[in-house]
Amino acid sequence: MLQKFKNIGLIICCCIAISSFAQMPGTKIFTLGADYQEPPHINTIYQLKNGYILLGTTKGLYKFDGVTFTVFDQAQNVPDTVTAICELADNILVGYSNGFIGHVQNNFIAADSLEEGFPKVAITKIVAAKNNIVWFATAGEGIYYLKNKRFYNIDTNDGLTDDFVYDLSVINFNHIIAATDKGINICASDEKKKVIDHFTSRNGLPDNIVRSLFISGGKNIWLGMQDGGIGKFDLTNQDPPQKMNWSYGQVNAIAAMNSRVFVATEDNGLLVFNTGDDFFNLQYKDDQLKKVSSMLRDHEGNIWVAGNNLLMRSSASNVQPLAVLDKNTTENLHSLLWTKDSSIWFNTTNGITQLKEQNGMWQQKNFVIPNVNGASISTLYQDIKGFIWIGTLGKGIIILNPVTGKQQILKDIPELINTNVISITGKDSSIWISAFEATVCVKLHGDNMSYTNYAGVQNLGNKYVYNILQDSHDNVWFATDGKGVIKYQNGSFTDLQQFSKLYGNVVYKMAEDREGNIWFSTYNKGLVKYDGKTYTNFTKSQGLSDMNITGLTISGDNVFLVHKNDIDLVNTKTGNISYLDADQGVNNLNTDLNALTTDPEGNIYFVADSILYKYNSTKEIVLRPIVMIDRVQLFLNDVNVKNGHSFRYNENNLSFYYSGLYYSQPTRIQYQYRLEGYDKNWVNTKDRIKNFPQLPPGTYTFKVRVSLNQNFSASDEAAFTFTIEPPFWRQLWFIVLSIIALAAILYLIIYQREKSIKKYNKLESEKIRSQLETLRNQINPHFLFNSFNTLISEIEENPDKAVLYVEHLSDFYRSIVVHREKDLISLQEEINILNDYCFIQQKRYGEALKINISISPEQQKNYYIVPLALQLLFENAVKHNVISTDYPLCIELFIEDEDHLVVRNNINLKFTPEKGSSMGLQNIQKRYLLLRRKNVTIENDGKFFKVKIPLIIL
Amino acid sequence: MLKNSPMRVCLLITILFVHTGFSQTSIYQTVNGIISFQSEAPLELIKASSNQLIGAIDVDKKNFTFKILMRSFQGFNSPLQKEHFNENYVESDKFPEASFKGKIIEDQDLTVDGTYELRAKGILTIHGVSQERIIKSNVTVNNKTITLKSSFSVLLSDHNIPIPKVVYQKLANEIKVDVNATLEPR
Repeated sequence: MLQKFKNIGLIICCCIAISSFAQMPGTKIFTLGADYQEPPHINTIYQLKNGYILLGTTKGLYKFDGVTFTVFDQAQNVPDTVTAICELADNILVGYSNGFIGHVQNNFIAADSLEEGFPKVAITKIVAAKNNIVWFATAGEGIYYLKNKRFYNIDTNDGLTDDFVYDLSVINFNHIIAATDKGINICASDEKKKVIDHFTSRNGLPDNIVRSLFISGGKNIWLGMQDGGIGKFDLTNQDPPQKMNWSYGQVNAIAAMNSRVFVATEDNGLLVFNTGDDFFNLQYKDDQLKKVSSMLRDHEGNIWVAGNNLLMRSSASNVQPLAVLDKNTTENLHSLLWTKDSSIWFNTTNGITQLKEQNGMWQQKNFVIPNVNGASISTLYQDIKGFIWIGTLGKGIIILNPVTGKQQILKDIPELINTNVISITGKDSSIWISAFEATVCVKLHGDNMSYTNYAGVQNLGNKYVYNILQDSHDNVWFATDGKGVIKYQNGSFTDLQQFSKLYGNVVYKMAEDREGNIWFSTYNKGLVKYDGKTYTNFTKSQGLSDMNITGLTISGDNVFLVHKNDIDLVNTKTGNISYLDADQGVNNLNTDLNALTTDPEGNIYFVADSILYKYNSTKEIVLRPIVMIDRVQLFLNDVNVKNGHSFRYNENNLSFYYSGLYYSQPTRIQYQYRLEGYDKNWVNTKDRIKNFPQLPPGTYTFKVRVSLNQNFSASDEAAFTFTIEPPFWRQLWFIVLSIIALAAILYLIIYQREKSIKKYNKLESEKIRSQLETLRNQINPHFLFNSFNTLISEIEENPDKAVLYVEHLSDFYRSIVVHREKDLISLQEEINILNDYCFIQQKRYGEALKINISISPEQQKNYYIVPLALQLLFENAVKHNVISTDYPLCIELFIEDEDHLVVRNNINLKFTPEKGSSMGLQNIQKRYLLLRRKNVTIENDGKFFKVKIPLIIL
Repeated sequence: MLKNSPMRVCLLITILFVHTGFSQTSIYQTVNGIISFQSEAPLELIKASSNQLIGAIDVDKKNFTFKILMRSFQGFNSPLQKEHFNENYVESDKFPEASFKGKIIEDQDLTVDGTYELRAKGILTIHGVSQERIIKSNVTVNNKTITLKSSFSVLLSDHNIPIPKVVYQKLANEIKVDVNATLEPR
């Protein structure tokens, strides 16, 4: 039974404003052009959709990747002082201090061309509205807008209150708000009236000169003024902002988020205010940069401010310092607690302290707990009724009513009197207490409580229990020192044996994420995730910065791990790990198990370097680096190619420039690249260029991915696909053509061989036929008969000559035997045969046969002829013609035109021609065609029969 | 009707009296400025010009007015074409004049000799349809004479002058206009 509160400890109330910070932790300053004599001054900061931060300076447009500044190349006629930047769908517009407008394409700034001409005064802001109208604010010519490639103007003649416009913002679809030297104006581009409405000091505006605008929540406009400070203007009910006491000078830029307002001033640096419905309170002021001319909140949640040539990055938006604690408190702080009234509680040397924010100011209330050394308070817990349970080492538990301040030592549970309490956790009306000697579950019923002591069960009393978690299914998990994880489900305890086998016996802290997975921090095996079936381990190879995990809790989609020197954020779905470290000002974290607390929104409170911090859990911020391929170079020269380009075979030396962007910790960035089609595996590198010389033909994809650690499983990736064409001699069409050509050649060769074989065969057959003919002719009985008759008369008339006659006859026949096999014989030899033949015939016919052979011996030697051709021709002449003294036959043989042998005879045909096949002449013709492709021509003009035989020279 | 110079001057004075508050010494004017236009279509090039451009600039108030009689344009490729121009396209009977009135954006003192590039912001009315335009001009001031040169484009579609499909290869929607005028003090 709960007894009435007996002990009332001392309460000390203080309303102290927690001191403002002069130098914000978590800031980093970058210097532009440190080595220039006159470094450029930054006028404006802008972030592109792809993540790159651009700076408009007095010496051109710069790109910043978190480490280095690179200036953009520009055309000759483009001026130097950039005053405005705006990204459109397909290019980036740049406005200059002299009214010039340029655009960036392929990393080069070129002039825009406007028929209407540029303004002659500085362009202070450029914004693009969703309806493709681009608005320009100028310092002296009012407002311009670009619509359908035409430039239009709105100035004082159209109703604008003043022509000097500082800032411009789009509201609704086609309306804009302009901040001028004379209040704010609302304008439209496509309505009858260009200036729809305006508000000046006459309407209650604290200051006419409005230098900056920020639209928040669609209907509230934050204004930054010259003298009047800042104010909120509600569009719907058109209430002007209230006048405030402002001592910080001219406001250059303003931005609001998460009930805080960031103000950039001309002389007082960056100011951060807490705002509510009707209050502003300065939370802190950072004047490392005294003059801040522009401000940007980037995709990762960092706040960037710039002044002169300095650029400062602050993580103040994400990691928000709440209060500075004194040294003593910091050293003895062991527990933190967030309670339902939005206060933060922690233990001090003599009790506990409540920090509560009221009207933007932190107020502190100290509660002294008598007889207890504040340093021995190990844990704090708020139960369902709102009472705070204070666990101590050695004095058990004290319950405090935060409203009244009344305290009571918990005596209802004898096992817990004067125990050493390790942790108190709970869910709804159950409270789990783990102490050295007992493990108790308390159940609250109205004003009463009942309890169960589980000490002794499953060794719960013997081993320390560091943490107890009652999850969403009301299973209870125990993290122990020596027995690993014990699960209590449906009334029975189970040791998770497999867990202990894999990850050891010592588990410190547990938490449940939105999907119901349970996360454990172990002694030396890192972080473990359990989804009910499988375990996933996160160690240094997955990117954990330290295997020694001191604090664990869940914030939104991330597991928040505290180590001595930094914080890891592990995404529960992707496993991607990002960090909060010295770059964000997080150092020397308090490593006590219970010095970490969360609120229902997912914000986390922790202590580092004597500062109590709040980590703001925001959904929209980017927690992993992005990578992009900036340029492609061919033989070290930039080429403007698109993804999927085809290069020729000799364009094979390619370089890729890529950048990874993660502004919060740029030095952690590492890359892996792989050229698909070339590299087998991913290659680690910290370089930002990769060159591939002499790539063989093929299709490749260059892929690069980026991570903050060695774990690339959840990284952003950029790719560029390209093809290197094979040289023409390796292309399909060429190969096919070559094969066809080869086949054709082969075919031709074979055909030619076939032809010449056929020709040879034909020649052979003709030769044989001619032999046959000659043979037939010579065995012609007529010839023999006549020859013998002639011989008889010779013998009778002139026996000596008869011998000569027979000698010729025998020579003739011998020649036939010798020469008949040959293809060609010399003219000389043929004429010898002929002479023999002619001798025989002339003996027979006497004067009736006249033979004239006029060929010089030289010619006889040089020329060649088919054997027995002449003999055949002469024989033909004798066969077909009358030979008588009345009608003599004259056969002539001579050379005509130096290339033909002619046999000519006068024609005197017999009536009855002798029997003989005309095969002889045809045979000769065929043989000449076969041998030398030459024609034997026959001319018959009725008077003379002329046969021309081509002469052959070997 | 308005072909001779004295008549034009009278018209000019009448126009100027409508705009109250003009001080006499600050007005520069012309009655014979040259305005020419050109339509470059794939199948035909049409040029025409007029030297009857009436204009006035008030150098104190930085106001200006220019007017031209549509019927005064000459050139064309044939008299028939000129007739079509007047009857069918610009409908000179209904809308005899085109005008451009407005204010000079720059704060340039035009009594000081020199050459300036100025922008005129005003209402351009052709064929009865008005469009707000900013037109850039080169202005040279020398010895109390203002010489003005300007080139700009006019879209026929902006002024409700439709191009029939049969002639769309012969008439361009974008007409290039050139103005040359010398203005002297009244």
